[in-house]
Amino acid sequence: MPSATGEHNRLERKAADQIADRLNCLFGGGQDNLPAIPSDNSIGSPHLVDSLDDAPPRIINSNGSKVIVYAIDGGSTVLARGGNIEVIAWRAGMVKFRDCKRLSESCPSPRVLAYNRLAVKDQIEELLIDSPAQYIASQPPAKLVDELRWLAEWRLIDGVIHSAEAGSLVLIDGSLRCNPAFDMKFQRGILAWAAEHEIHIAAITKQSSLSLSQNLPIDLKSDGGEVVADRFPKWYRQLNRPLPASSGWLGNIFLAGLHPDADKPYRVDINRHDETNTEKIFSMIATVSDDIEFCGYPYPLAAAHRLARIDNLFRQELIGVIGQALDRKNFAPHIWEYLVGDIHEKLNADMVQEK
Amino acid sequence: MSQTYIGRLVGKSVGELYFRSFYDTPLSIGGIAMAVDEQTGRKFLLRITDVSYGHESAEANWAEKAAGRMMEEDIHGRSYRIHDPDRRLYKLAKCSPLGYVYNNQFHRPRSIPTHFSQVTLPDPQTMEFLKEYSGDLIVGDLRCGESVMDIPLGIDGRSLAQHLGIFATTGMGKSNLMKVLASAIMESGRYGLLIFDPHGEYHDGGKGGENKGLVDHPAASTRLFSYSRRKLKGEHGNLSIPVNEIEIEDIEQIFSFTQAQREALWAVRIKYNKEWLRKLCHLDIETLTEELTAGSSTFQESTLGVLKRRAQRIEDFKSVNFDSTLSTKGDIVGKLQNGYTVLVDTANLSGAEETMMTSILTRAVLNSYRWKYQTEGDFDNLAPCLIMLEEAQRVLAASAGDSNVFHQVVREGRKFKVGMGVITQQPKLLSEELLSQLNSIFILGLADERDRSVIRFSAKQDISALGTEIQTLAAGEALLTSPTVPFALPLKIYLYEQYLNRYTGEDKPGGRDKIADDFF
Ligand SMILES: Nc1ncnc2c1ncn2[C@@H]1O[C@H](COP(=O)(O)OP(=O)(O)OP(=O)(O)O)[C@@H](O)[C@H]1O
Ligand SMILES: [Mg+2]
Repeated sequence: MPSATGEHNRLERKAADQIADRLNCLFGGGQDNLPAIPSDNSIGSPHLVDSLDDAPPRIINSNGSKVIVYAIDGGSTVLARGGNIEVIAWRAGMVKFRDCKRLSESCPSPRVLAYNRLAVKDQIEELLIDSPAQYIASQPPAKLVDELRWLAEWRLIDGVIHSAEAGSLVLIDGSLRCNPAFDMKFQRGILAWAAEHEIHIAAITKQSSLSLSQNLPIDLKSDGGEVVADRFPKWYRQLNRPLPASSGWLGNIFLAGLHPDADKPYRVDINRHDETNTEKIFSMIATVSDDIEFCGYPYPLAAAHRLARIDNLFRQELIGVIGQALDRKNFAPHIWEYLVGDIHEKLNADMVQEK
Repeated sequence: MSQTYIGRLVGKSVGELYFRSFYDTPLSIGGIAMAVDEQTGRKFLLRITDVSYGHESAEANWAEKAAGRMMEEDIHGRSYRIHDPDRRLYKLAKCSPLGYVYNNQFHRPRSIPTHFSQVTLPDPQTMEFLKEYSGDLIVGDLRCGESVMDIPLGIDGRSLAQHLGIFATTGMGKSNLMKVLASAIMESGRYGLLIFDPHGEYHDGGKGGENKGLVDHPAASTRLFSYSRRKLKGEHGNLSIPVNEIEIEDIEQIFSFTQAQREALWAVRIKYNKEWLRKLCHLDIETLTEELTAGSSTFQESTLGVLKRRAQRIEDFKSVNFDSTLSTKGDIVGKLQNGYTVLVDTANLSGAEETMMTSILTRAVLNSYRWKYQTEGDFDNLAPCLIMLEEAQRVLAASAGDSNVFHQVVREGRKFKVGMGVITQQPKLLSEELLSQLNSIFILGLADERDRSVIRFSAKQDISALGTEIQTLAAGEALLTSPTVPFALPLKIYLYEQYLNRYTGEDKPGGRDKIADDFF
């Protein structure tokens, strides 16, 4: 089925049929309720400065150099949920820019999975069979789709750094921290390899939950705590104190005003293996943060977000395509409607689960 | 991606097509684009009639908001950019489909190309089909928007007797086109051309000296004959009309007469035959009154007094003489019929004299051709003749009736191989009927909407979508309509001074640009 919003926003009929078969199968199984499975998501706090006074602003000199910038973001959604059955979709996409121009982009059709939450452990083993990262958590994840999207993003990062030109910047949506459910070696390996090959990795958080001394989120105030705009139209402050090598925080943590007209500063994490290049990396980030629509936020990340996201329109399309496949397999339509309807209400309640 | 790739078709109907183009593709009104239907191999030619902005944001008023932010940043002297412009911004071109080319043949559009057909600049090879319509009197090259392709175009000399219009606001290139057309006619040697030149600009280029004239054309020495009452560069004849060749119709062009005056005039004409104007001048009023009185009918002295004064003014005209052997009329007509170009320079004549001379000569041409048509067997060998009239609205305006010799030429001339070339800045002053008689029309830049709309009705092609283009034409840019061309042809008329260089080898005519990426 063609999609109005682009080649990558479609689901092949074959894939939809597989999902339908799978759902048929799943509904032959048990209907017990799944207890929420807690997962240990904690890697400890990153040990931040007490106040912004301890994090003096430094000026960013963006030199406008024509750097190559890759931006990577993921998209995921829950398509249907009922009882223990869940249907999820996820993917990761990449855009490549130089000097305001989009050189290339790649984004696959989303992967779709129907699974029984009771059997999630088998499920994850099956899914991770070819994964470079080993699943080490003792419990299955509470939100499988988040883990799968995370994995898709990092596998894409891994691929990108190996094909990127030395000196390129790779921007990631989110933060640079270990995913405790997976073996840390995977992420650390990527970051170390990148730094060694002059590929600079930075992550930018759209909305940070970090705070200093239990105060408001760090990125809330537009000037980063004081009026710096006059002296420093573009600036960054390092928020973390030295981190032990073993820390699950893989980047130094900064707050940065990337454009004099930015509506807020952003939390930026920079690969710890690359810390000698901090100044240069900020200069590169600021260079791509001067788009008139997204002043102060790197445009390539905005583009990657738009590319990879599974928005409501596309979600409806996916639901429709799978519904048709179920019809072909004589699956009771009211059950699918129920699964989807249920999720509609949930979505309305906790906003669209689009990331 | 090839340099000529400019977009993809997005809609909408047989009569109106749209394509999306890159944000930085230079598109201009009048430009020709080509949509290639991959299934059939048909190449659809589209004329761009409008260009608008587009952007991809779903946000309402995105462009206005972005502009507002830019202005704010500008005021504060901050720098910003638009990232990803290829993806976010585009142009939308509205086109009227001209037709499609298939196997080097042009066909009218009856269908539309497949969805999202690729749009490119037309390639010269595809446009070759136009050569079939180029005619033998080449005046310019095919124009695509602001650029030019190496496809020479013009009109068919056989259509000259079916009349011609050249319409343009002042300074848009009427006179230049006239010179180029005259050159083509001289070069061909197959057609007679009579040019009336009230501004004295055609013989030697006129005042200032920067413009060249017809005399500078290498063919002039054998094919051009100029007549004037002033000293011109190079060889030329003396414009001279014996008083006894002047007819009432000719002076009716310059004076208006009451019914009584007209009756008296005719009485004089009948009484004295060819000598009527002389007698009117030289007999005193009493003698005239006496001699003209027949039975009870008589003429008032005041009436005859007016006529006499007017006749005297005519006798004072520079080009009027009393020696009937000094007529240039027969000379001129003979040259035209043998395919020469005759230039009648009236620059130093009064407006009245100029109009009268124009009328006399035009009538002489029409009568001679008509007479040969009716009587002699050699009509077939006569060269067709075109009479070019600058400021034609002065004698052809709808408000002045339609009985004069100029109207006669328009009405009957085609039968006798005599065509009228109507040059004016104000076609709106001409009658619709007259306009509809004009077979070929060169439309140059026309600022006035009423002028444009009047041509719209009379043009042989539908040019209703081309209003904006006509308005934005630069000097020397033209549209040519005629029943024999497949669509209103966009032309860049050669600049005469450059055109002449083809004989000195300095340059190709028209100063044509190579097709570059700023093709549109
Ligand atoms: N084909 C052409 N190519 C380039 N320039 C041209 C062309 N035709 C005219 N021009 C420019 O426009 C100027 C005016 O042209 P021209 O005298 O032919 O206009 P016009 O319509 O006869 O004006 P007017 O109403 O004053 O008689 C020329 O001097 C020349 O600079
Ligand atoms: Mg002129």
